[in-house]
Amino acid sequence: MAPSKVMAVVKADAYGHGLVDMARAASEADCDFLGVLDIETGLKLRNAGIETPAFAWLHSPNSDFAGAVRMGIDLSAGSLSELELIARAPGRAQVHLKIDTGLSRNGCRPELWEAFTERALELEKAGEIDVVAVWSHLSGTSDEEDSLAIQKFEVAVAQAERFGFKGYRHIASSPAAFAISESRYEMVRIGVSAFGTSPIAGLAASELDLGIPMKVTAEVIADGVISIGFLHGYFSNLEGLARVEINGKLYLVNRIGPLASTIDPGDYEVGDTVIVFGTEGELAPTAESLCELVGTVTDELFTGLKANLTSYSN
Amino acid sequence: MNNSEQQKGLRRELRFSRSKVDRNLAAHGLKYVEVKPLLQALLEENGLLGLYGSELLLLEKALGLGAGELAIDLVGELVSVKRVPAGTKVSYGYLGQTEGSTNLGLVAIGFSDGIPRNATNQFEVKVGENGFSGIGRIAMDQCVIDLGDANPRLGSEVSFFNSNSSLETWVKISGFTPLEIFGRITARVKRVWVA
Repeated sequence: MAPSKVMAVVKADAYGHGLVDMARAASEADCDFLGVLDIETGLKLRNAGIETPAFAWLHSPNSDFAGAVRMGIDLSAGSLSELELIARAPGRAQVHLKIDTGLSRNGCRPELWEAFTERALELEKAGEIDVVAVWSHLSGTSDEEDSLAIQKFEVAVAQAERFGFKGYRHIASSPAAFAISESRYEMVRIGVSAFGTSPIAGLAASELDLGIPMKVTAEVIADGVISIGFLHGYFSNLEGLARVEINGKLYLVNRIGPLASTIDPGDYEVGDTVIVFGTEGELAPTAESLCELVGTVTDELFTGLKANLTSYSN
Repeated sequence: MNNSEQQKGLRRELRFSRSKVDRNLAAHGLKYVEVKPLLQALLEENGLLGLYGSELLLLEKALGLGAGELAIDLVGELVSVKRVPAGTKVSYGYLGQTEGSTNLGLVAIGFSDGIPRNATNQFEVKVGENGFSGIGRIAMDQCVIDLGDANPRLGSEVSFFNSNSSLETWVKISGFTPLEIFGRITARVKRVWVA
């Protein structure tokens, strides 16, 4: 990914992998930034002694902007009202201005961008904030749509530069960072869930020892009954579709209950280990293949898994 | 009953209604004090995982999951409102598109809080007394709603499971059970009792 800097995104409890451990591992692997979604998550990392630069981009009007500035958490701003709230916090907030390049979430609309950036750079000159970056998100709809979004992004950066912007740029998250080299700019944002499958220089899963991708195991607890159910995060609409591996054989999952599920009879005993999903190359399904059966993505599976169920592969 | 007004930060709450739980229990000849230790499990992270099947059935009755009066609500916060023109695409994959010029509201609740991701473009929420449709892909931490010409103040509460019919809608779209939808709500969402 060099020469771009890397922001390791650890939102949603690091995609269900455990916030503090993942943030620490990413920091030890010399990630430049931690993406934390909200200020509260950033403050949790600071309280855990993690000092890596952090970036929060989803705010409430009640968010603790003063705490963020005090604890060195960079802040996104996407509207004038948000910008003013942030500027009011004591100290100099480190601000990333967000342009809406098509996703229609909390970026500044292009028709409002000029007034927005002008005000931001005025606040910088007045010593209230530092405008450190311009940033956005890609929609991942198609290569054409992402190229259009990148064009809009460059227009927005050029407009900001006319008001004196001298900071850096970031728009790419995991998919674009690998597929679209011109989207990398000075920093890319990589979700920690992508570490296991993505060849980021200096950030391979093995080097980080993150134990990703996850492997989840359960146990045979009675004849035809296994110790995993939908309250553990195993989607109930997988019943009749998913298979599990026991002793090198696959078994269909017939019914998924709250805390246990039933499977086809076979060559196994109470106490045997059940692989619910595993890593590529094993007989058991992967998290990806399970999610494909019900039309969703592994992020939904991972973030919904209960921590006391999961065991991680090494 | 809840002091969330004073708290800093994004509000994500799973609310249990004491009066509704009381009514649900009364319908089964039960009193709150008799099941109080069991209800404690609702407030603990992974509390449900330590229960017996019979206890789960009792909890379903108390909370009105499936039958009875729904006694829970998932509440998020409106964090952005912006005017966009007709034909504006929304969220990942541009699966949503505005019909006319409208106000888009961004709500800080996503599938990692527990709402089913496949309800993209099909769900409804309430802001105050008014219902609004979700638009575009439900993302990990956020979803977008179509506010029309309404312009609620930032920080307004957005209710996801406000009635039996709203929970039924989520069940129908997702293919999950009512208990599962409840159980999928993650630890990031604060559990609170309200009147």
